Amino acid sequence: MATKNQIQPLTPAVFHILLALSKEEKHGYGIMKQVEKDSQGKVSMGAGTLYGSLKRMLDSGLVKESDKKVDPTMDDERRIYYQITGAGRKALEAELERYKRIVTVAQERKLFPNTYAV
Amino acid sequence: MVSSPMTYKHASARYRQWYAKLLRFYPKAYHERFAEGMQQTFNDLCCERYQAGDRLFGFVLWTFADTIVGIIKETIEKENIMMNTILKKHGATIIWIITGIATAGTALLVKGSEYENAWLWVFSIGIVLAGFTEAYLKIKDQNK
Repeated sequence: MATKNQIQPLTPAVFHILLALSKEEKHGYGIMKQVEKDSQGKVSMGAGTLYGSLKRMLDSGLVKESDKKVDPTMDDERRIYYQITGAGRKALEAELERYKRIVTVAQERKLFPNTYAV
Repeated sequence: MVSSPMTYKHASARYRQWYAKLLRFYPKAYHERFAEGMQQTFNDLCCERYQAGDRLFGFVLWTFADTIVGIIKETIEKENIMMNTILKKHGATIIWIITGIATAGTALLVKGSEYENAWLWVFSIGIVLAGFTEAYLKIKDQNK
């Protein structure tokens, strides 16, 4: 049973957003593109899902807004950038650790393709 | 289907206008905070598709559907928060008033002597008054 101190598992959208922001701050479109790249095109988020998740993440302190600035690789519009926080980094690490444990269990049970027990 | 760059630009401009209108359906606080970013992201995605020569219609339909789901979620969340706030602030008052009304209803249904019914009426009016007094005191406290 989960205790209060344990970090709760993240939703797929929140996990991918945190992963996208782990290296550097990004604006909305930048996050979308990074999520697509990280998931090799398997995860694509609409603006509604992205900003809805960002709102909840801002409220729970996983990310923070930084000042509006211009993206040098795009047009001259000023955009809000989002940054991962310390709490966000901890939540991401905890989720990755959880995935690692699951992969270990799967490896032990030989559940990966070409490793099924005969 | 979009045939020429000019038609494409017209279609894109129209979709952007519609998207801006759709975003107005978000709760006010959400709209003020995120609509600009969402609009920019939508414009960026339109430009990306234009440069890649992809069709816009399917993408627009998917984005609109995703945004409508977002609007519904945010509206439900806002209503839930409002409901919780009302219950937290005025829960006791609401319970007083409902109990009073229920007692009054019982007084109407009970077929007893006039004396018994009179007591039920006095009791129910007392409870409703207690509810209103509590509401008045709370509002007075808030305005201090």
